[in-house]
Amino acid sequence: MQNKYLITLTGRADGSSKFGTENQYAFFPSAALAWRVIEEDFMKNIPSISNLKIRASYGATGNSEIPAYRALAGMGNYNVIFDGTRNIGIGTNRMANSTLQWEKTKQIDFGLEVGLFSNRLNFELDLYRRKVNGMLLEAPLPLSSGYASIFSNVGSMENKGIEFSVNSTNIKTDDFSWSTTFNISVNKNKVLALASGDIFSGNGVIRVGEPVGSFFGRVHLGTWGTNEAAEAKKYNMLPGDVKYKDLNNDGRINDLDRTIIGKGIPDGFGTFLNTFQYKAWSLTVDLQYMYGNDVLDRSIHSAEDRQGIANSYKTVLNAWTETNQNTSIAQIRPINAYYTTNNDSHKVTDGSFIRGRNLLLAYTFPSATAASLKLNRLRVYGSVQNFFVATKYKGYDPEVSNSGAPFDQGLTLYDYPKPRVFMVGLNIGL
Amino acid sequence: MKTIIKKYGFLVLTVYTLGFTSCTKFLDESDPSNFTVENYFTKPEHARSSVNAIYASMRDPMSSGFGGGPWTMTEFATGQAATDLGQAVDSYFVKDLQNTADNSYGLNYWQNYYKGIGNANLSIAKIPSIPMDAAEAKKLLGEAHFLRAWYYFNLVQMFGNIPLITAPVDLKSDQLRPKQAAPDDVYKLIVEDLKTAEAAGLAWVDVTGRVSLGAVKSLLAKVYLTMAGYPLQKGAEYFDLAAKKSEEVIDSKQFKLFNTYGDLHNPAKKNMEENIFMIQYKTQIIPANWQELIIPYNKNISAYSAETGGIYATADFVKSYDPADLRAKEGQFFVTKFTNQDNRNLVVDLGGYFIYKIFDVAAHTSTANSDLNWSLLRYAEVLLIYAEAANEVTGPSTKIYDEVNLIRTRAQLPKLTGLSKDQLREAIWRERWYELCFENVTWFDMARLRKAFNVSTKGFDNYVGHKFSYGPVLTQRELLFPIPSRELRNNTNLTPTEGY
Repeated sequence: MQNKYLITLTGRADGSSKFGTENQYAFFPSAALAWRVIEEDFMKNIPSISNLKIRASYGATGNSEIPAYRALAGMGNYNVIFDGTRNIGIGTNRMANSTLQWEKTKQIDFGLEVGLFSNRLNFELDLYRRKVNGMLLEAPLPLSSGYASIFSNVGSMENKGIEFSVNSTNIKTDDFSWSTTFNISVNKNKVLALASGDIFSGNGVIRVGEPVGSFFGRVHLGTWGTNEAAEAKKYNMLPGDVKYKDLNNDGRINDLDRTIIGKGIPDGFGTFLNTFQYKAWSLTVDLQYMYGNDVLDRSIHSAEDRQGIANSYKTVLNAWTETNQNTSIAQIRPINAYYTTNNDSHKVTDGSFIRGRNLLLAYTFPSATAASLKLNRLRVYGSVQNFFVATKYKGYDPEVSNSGAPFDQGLTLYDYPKPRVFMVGLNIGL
Repeated sequence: MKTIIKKYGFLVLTVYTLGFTSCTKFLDESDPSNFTVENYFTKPEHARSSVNAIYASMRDPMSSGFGGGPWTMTEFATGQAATDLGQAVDSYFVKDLQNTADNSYGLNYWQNYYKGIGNANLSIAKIPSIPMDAAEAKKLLGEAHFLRAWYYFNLVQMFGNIPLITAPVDLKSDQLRPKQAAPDDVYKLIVEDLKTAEAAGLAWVDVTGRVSLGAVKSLLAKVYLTMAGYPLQKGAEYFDLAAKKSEEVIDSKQFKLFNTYGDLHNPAKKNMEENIFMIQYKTQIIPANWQELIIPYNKNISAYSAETGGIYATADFVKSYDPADLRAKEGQFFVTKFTNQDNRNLVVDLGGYFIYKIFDVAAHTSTANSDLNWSLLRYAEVLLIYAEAANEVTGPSTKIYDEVNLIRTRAQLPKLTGLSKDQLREAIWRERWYELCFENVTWFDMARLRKAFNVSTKGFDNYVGHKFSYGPVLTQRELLFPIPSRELRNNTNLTPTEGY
């Protein structure tokens, strides 16, 4: 009985002074059930199945990771000069939010574990749905209030996904063995509700029905050609200027023509690890992959849009000229002419990749050799970390984020590249 | 026995503690290390500090750098300013009449001026309940009302239909996402606020830089003059009010014109004589920060490392001055030559007419840390308000000629005399354009008069249809700046500015 059915029940009530007086406490229950089917009598007749377990769980957790006192109307320091000396001013800083409360995550999970052939082949499958209510974020306020934003429970989002992994010992003989680990996580994120419309956070937008961390910007159509001079003029543009799409067809190109141009969070990711062992030699090939994620390379803002002012990529050699009109790069203009630079689709590329995370070859000396050197163990190895990256992304590394704003994954402005590390080593056991 | 008492005593204490500390109370945090709106406003010095904070927002639009400066918005909108700072796109959008609601300059004014209004509303709501000297409280409230009027007067002229917020806003307030008020109602509040400030017992002059009675009356005169014109068109009654109010300032004999134009940008002359009200700066503490914007692009003339070429006067405007006009002569209002930073004996041609009346000589030649104040109201303007308003009421008079001629005499120009009412009106306007250029005055004049100065005819065109000397033509929509798109996104009760 005890080995067949497992039940865990917990409940906790948490209180935090960070929240408004009306909502400081919250209750977070959880329950988990598991049935080890393998222990049932009827399983005894199926010898090829060595492990079978079904489990389900439900749980609520809370997040209070915000700075203290955000529920109170904190005042801030202002400096002013009177009579040539500094005078302190104390004025508005934060709008009070007495309803500020816990961000609550409710997760439901269903899992299956299967082991076959004396656990030489193991599968694990998890399905989950995680719903976050009362997301804690800085929400913008109308500036006429005297404030720019307020910490509040802005809305809800969900994550739905599947996690699957296989562990397999493919070959096992006295001299040679080969084992494989493969896993994949597929996740779909969607914002379900927002209290007061879109939230512009960093370079992205949080919008109902879309994943958080969606990039927001204009649609880049290339450059205006000389044969389009008349149409360009309607938008106050010249041939050689970047051509953006007039999304709302109002005859103007401005911030209202922005849309979702990509997303930083991937559709799926995982690893693929193979280990080979032949006598004293072992080889590990560790691959990592991610797909469905975009990168917004804001380095292009400086390196293509600000020609003549900042250092540029060599792509500006392909800038618009009378004779080179089929290009994405605007005409190079004198320094006192204005240029435009916007987050746009030209700066977004598919950031899907496969990375060779680690390649390791090792040789363990026979114990006799080790013993002759008065050692227990002697092993030499060489490895290359980050030994390749296969991707369409042209910047340094598609697995990047150097922005501080929440949900700004996949956003870069002059990131530092990930190094390729070559290592040679010796393990000595005394 | 002792142990038993110890044991049970502890237990009793524990139970006692648990019993009398309810959970809710235990989480009631006050934030003792910081002020909150709830725990502040208990002492007289809190009233002072809270009013100080209102002043700070005046500085924000003055911030300048490679991205330009919000304060240049109303200068580029006159068609009399030029720039070489390619990356300050917002300047180009305004200058070339291609402005949009995304312009960060307009957003800066909107955000910071409403922040100033928010602080004024807080002071006005809270100071009356602070136990303190009644006369002192009245003065402080006078400052707060003046500053709220200052912010609203600028916002209503720039953006037209704006929300009118007169009390602190919180999450439950119906003013959190307000609708727009009629300009008439905004002006009503401005006048009421200035009358409150006028009766607050403020001194005529305040050399420390706080609001003075001179500032209140000067601003009220300017508000009346503006109300007489567009968009309210209150006409004769308000010209009369403007004339009388400015006359009070003149007759007080508290202010006078400087003898030299150099004193307009002389740190030793802060808050005195001609300078009625200014934004306060102090070198090394809070230095003025527009200097990098008003010098030519990388000519190595300045101790500042950034030389941006951000704004200068168009040659067409400067050449429209009378050749005898001292203001247009080298080193008065404008400068076309300066010395090299590495060799002050070497003269550098600046390649344009740079604005010397707001140029800090010491900062550029040695400190790179400016000590200038920014003038908001100066006596020359009060004289011109009087002259313009009085001429509308009575036609030309000796007193009107006397006041205008003070300004002309300083410019070494012949005195005006024997003009018709219409001729005198235009002569006074021209004097405003020439005297008050590049002080964030001219565009506001253009909007209230619906007139623009024509640099070739030296007459006045109608605003709509006026062609800038470098090409673009003003249209109806340029009578206002657009309400910023960020605000429209976050407050759907607002109607966007027409034409943007």
